[in-house]
Amino acid sequence: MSEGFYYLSEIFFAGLTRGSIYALLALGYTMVYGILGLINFAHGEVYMIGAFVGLVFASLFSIMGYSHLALFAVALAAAVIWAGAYGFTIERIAYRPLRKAPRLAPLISAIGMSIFLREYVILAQTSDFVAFPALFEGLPDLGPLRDFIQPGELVITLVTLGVLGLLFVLIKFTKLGLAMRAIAQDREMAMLLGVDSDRVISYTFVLGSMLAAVGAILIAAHVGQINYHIGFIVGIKAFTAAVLGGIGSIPGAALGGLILGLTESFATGYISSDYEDVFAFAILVLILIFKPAGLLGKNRQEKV
Amino acid sequence: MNLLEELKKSLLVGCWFVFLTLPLVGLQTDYLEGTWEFKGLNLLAVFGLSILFSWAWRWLAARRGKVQFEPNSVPWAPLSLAQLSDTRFLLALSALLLTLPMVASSYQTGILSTAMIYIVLGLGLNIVVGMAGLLDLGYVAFYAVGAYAYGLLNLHFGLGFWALLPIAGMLAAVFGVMLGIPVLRLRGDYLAIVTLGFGEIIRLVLENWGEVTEGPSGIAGIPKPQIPGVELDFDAQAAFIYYLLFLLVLLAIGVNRRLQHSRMGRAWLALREDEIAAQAMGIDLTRTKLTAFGLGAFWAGIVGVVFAAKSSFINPASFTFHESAIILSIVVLGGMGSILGVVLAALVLILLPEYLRFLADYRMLIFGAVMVLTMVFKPEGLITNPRPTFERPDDAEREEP
Amino acid sequence: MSLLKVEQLTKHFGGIQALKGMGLSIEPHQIVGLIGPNGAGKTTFFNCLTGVYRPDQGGVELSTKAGTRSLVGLRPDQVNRAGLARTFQNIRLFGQMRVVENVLVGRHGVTQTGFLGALLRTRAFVAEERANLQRAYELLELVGMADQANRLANNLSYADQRRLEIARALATEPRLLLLDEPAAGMNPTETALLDRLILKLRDELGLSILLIEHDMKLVMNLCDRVLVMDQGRDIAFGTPAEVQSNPAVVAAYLGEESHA
Repeated sequence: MSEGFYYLSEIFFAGLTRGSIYALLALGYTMVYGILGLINFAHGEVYMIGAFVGLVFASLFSIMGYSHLALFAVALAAAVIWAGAYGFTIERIAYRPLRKAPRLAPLISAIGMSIFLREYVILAQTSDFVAFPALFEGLPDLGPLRDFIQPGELVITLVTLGVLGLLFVLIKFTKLGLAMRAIAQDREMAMLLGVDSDRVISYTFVLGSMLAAVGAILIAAHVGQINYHIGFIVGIKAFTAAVLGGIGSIPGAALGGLILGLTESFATGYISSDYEDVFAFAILVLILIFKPAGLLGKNRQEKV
Repeated sequence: MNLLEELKKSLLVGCWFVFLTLPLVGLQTDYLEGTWEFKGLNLLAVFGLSILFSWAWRWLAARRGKVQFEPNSVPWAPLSLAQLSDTRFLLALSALLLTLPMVASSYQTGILSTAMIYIVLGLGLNIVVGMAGLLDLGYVAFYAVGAYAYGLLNLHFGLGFWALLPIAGMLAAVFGVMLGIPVLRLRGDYLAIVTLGFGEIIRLVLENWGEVTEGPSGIAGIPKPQIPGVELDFDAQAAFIYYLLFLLVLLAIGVNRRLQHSRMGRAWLALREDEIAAQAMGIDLTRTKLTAFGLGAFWAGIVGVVFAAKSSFINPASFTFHESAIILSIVVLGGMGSILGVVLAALVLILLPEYLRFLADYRMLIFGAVMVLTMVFKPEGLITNPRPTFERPDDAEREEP
Repeated sequence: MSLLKVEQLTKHFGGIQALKGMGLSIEPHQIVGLIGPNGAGKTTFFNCLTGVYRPDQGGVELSTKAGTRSLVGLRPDQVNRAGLARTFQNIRLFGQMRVVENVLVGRHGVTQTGFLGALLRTRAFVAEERANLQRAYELLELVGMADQANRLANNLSYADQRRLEIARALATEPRLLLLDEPAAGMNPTETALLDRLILKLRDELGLSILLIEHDMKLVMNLCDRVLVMDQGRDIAFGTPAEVQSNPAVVAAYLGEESHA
């Protein structure tokens, strides 16, 4: 096996890992956009907050003597719970009062909320990079596969797939999923048919936030450190992924995340790593200009 | 709602926020050191503040829509707009502002200069966001173009301040048009994100393309503006920049006013209200949008040069999304399109943290909160700025003897 | 020499054929009504004429001062400057602007001075602003709204909003005016006023008008010619009397309630 091949597979699985995280975050963006037509600018910060909450609880339990698997479970549970709570609260404060406002208002409110949350974490915790338990380091290597994929990467990919599967079941087979799809198609009609749109919208935010939290803990455990700024950049990239796959489309978000993750990984691996973030922005700009409906999305025509 | 229910609701909200903030505000942990600390006092503060917040929120929400703010008034201000616009008042104010550098320290002058820089930035963004309704989140890029134009052209070719002012303005305008072309067909949210992306791309290029832009270490020793033949000491230089900015502010205000009452200004407003109807009335959307982008960027470019001269040092860190967000807050708080509003908002948002030092750390927190609260409770901003009225020309002329 | 000549206009969206070979000829100083059951494609037709949609096939030719011009492929603002103005089915006014300002926006395409003139307050700018304002007031008088000139457009009554849209469209100095359901939501008094206004537009301003309407009484009384559409096709064209007795027209409307 040549050096080049090992490098290729390293890049590939790194890309898969990134793509998983982007997919998890992109789902939140796409669900909210599908239901409200709004870009939840603050979503990236919820992701970041999830990571910090996970860290706090992991630290506490680590002091109490627990280790790896328990810490992971605790961090995950705490992040998911609190992220959901934040998502719920954000919707109530920054978006719900603006349901009937002109287009620009909820967007500006979202930006303001995003700024507020970032600063809040800086003040409450710290603006430095902080260490997060590298929970995947202790995992046994994968024997014959050890030169191709790291155990952490495998975990991330598998967990993401599992979560996506659960989401699929939720959307397709539960009443809530049906309600979400109905509201995304035609909110007024759904309301006339008895769907409590406020409730469903809240659930959507909570669900999206929880997914983001899962992504946050996974990547934090893999990388071993977090910082207040991770939400901003990853948020924009995940939004790019959602747009790439077709905003409003759930499979699109997963697909978009995957493609973006792989593209970024290959670009930084083979072209240049300085301009890493520029690749995502460039893709975003190009997609929005040339194919705003994305890969799996539908074109929304305005009625004249 | 009676008092008991109000109290119950507020208490619930208080508890909720304590829950929310528990891991982040109520606990401090250090994974590596293995320490943890419970910050009960913080949580108590959160509890109290959120109860107040909840009560205030509901009080304001109940009054929303019921209170009609007088058009052209500044709510809760000691002076009415009519008084503020009165020529004698303005002359007196101008006289006061003009004498300031002679009585205040250069430090104080510097603070006011900074505020004026933001006024110009706010007025520039006002053209794009306030008048034309194009949500540009990457405005700081044009500011950077202006500053770096001066820094680099001065460093490599020795070009002076006065030459750079128009050059940077034009260059920034060109960038503005270039940014505008790809986003012509994009709507609201998408436009915002793409412009955000552009802003970030520019910053990343400034940081990474070291051979051209000097990278993260930036450019130092940028010369201040000189008056040919005159030696200026430190204080005088600060005063000179102050007066220059004062002039720029007046110019920006004048330009904004003239644009508002022009064919282009109406076209922007029409564009903002309903693009399709605007187009059906003969408005060339491309030209109208690009003009907005270009004109808006022009101001950022010019004031970027002054900023570079004032700080004598620039680096990519001065041109982050943070800055775009601050400038956006100014426009939003001021009331989209209202010139006086933008001026007041810039003064409030920039000067208050300087004079209320304890607030300085919370500056961005306040900006974020201001943006959300303004949108929820008073989306028109500080000053409701309805359109002017028009008298029939025949009638107007008949009245003159 | 026809003012507007439409031939074989075809448009489809995805799998749906919205317009199938539409044809129409409008003469100068003529009021033409466009009627048809719901979903026939009337507004789509308007949108193809005004450049909002690009037709897949067919030709649209407008006679202008500079000769005949093909409108296919032009942007809506270019179509407007060529001499075609329109109102909208769902009123699209600039709500935050004053009534007179809405009309002033209509003067955009016929104004010469650009933003530099405005910045420098040149004499040309001031003169043009004055002339435009004068014209705007005249048009408001024409539609009977001069006394409301400084009201915010959002505060107008429904009928007034429709009249303002007409005034605004007129401000663009068109030769052909397209009205999309101008009488919708109006009571009989307001409809009668509209009736007289449209006649004035033809007789005093020399315009031709193409109007989509469901109010059959209005159409039959007002129009010189009527075009009937059904399922994307033109099925009849002639005087109101001819069209009313056309069996194909009756068949198309079978089951549809008309106001006649």
